[in-house]
Amino acid sequence: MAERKQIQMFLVTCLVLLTLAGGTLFGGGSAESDEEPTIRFAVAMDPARLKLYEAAVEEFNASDRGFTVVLENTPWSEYWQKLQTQTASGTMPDVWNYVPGFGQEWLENGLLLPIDQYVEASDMDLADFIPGMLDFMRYEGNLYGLPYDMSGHILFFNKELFDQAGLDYPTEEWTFADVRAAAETIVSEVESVEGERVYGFGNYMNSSWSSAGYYKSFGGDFVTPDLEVEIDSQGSIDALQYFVDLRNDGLAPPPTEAGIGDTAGGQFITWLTGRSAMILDGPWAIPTYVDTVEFDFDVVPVPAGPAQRAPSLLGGTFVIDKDTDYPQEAFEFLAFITSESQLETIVAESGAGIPGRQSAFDKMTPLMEKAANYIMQTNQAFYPVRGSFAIFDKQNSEFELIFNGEKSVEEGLTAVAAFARNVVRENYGE
Amino acid sequence: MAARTRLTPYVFLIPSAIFFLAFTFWPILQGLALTTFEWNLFKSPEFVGFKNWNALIERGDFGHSLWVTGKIVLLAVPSIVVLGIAVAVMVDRVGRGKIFYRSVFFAPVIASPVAMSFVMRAMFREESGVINFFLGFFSIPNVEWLASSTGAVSAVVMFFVWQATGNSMLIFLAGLQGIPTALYESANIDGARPSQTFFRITLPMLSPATFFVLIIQTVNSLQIFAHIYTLTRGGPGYATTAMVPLIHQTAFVQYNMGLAATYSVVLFVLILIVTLLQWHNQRRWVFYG
Repeated sequence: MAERKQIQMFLVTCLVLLTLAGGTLFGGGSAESDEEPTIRFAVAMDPARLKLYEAAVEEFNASDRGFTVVLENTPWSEYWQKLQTQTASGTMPDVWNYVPGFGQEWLENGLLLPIDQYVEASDMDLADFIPGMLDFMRYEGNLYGLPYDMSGHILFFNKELFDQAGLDYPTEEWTFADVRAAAETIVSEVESVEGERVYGFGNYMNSSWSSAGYYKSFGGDFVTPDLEVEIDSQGSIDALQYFVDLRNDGLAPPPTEAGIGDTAGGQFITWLTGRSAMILDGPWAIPTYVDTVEFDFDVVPVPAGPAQRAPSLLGGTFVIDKDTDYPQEAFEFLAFITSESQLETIVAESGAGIPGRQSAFDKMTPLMEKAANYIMQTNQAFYPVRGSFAIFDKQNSEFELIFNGEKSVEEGLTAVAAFARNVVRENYGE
Repeated sequence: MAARTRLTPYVFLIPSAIFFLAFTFWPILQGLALTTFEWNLFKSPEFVGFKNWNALIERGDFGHSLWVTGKIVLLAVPSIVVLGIAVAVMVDRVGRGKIFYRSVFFAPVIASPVAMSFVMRAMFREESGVINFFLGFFSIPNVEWLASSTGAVSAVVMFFVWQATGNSMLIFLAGLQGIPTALYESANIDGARPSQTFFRITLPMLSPATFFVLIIQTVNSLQIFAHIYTLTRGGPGYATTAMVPLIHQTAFVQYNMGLAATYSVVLFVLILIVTLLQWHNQRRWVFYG
């Protein structure tokens, strides 16, 4: 009898606990209906830039617009996976950080809110935004986002190594042939820096969005607007072979010290320690290099290849989730965070990059403004496709094998091209 | 009365059973079902029958990842067992500072693999890494740790073993404490050498702990991910793309959830088979006293 009562008590306790747990899990959301609307704003910023966005959000919330913005930051390395999970679970943020190519699936699968009607109803001047970046956000006649910055590669060079080698500095007319000639002279003339060997060139072309520009410079391409995969074309092979030859001829450091496999801005150790004369990197790295390196450096445009000068243009934009509960409020915040004053503060004055609005250019540091003008003059938008992410990843693996000498350039790029054709076929049909 | 007594333990298991069914068993069933669907997260899942299972057979990356995983397991598990026993015996025999040494060897277990990977990357660098620096004292040329297939697998295994040994050490230490001292006294009286004592008394008496460590570390190494993802990202090339990194890549880079689920099911079956084999074989060498 006593035992039966014990069992009954235990069962009742379990049922009560389960009910309470269920209420917490499933009933928690319904109490917010009377509260102020909240816009979730997702970014993937490093700590230095995050502080600027926090200040911007605080400023916006203090202006009492009838809704609140909540900032959510995720490290870049986990950002896209988190977005995928949020997409699957229907918990996407209202406004979020979008990068062309990486976010193509969201754009082409109709998961972003077209903002044309909101732009027309506002007094926004679209002509102030970087045209190439706006083009990235147009799809099937609609506009889906606004840029906050623009970037691309430029050629950084170590003035001191050039001086030691008795060479003139690189110019805006330089070609990749000039780069190689200079690298050879520097390696032969400059024995070492603090006892460590010197390299003429500090990194290789990397495998992400910037690869398209290098392929084009040598007459190849990544994926054309006609969805033709050109990764295994002769021009693309020549482009990659150029960098492999730099490595094989001792003009560039080993792969792990050249940031191979890392996205742009990886660990270019020989550059950071003053042992490489030149690297290809983006303006996002300028503040770090200004603070970190102990040598004098400058920048010029990416050199021209045999076919053309065509480094890739890219940048960051902000977009609105199609299913946001508060589209008007989301656009209001989008307009605020991409306004001239905010981009001047967050991007230009801080040296974080090149602002997405031309009116904010004059607040940049002189070096950043120089880089911005070069990129505006020379860089071309690459053609992002659905599956770009997967193709970049495959390309990255093959680049590692190529630069480690385990595969030839032709073998590696053939493998990437076959993979890319499969991806394009799966995403766009035959 | 007897029936009630038999039912009582099952009744107490109900809350755990509910959680297990809801958060473990049901997702496993969903994963199994997902193997027959094509789903890229952006559109609704589409039923494709056995297409993913055919792809598993046709694509070369699954077999390659199985091979990489096998290499890691065969290198890591024996190393963890041997090092775990060696460190446990040393810590057990040290006179003073036992707690200090236990803490030192256990510290890597609680360190974050992500944080430690930054340190490891710097240590494994070819030209400026500290490991090659010390190898240089023995006139060993620079090893391309992270830039060569063999080097990268070795680096991943070393990283994994370094983090896992502390845990094993604790288990073996507990096992050592449980060995009756009378056995060692008898051996001493009989004139046994230290090596005989170790191989004839210590090791057999540690066999239950060894069995436990073997099972746990085999399962852990079959599922290795964080160490690879943070140190080599599965490279160079595909040299360290083990099963779980492949599943991750298939799901979150290639957006192919159905195929990733298929790989996961195969990994689950593989772990189950290996574990059952280990359980079956334990009768031959595990001594429970």
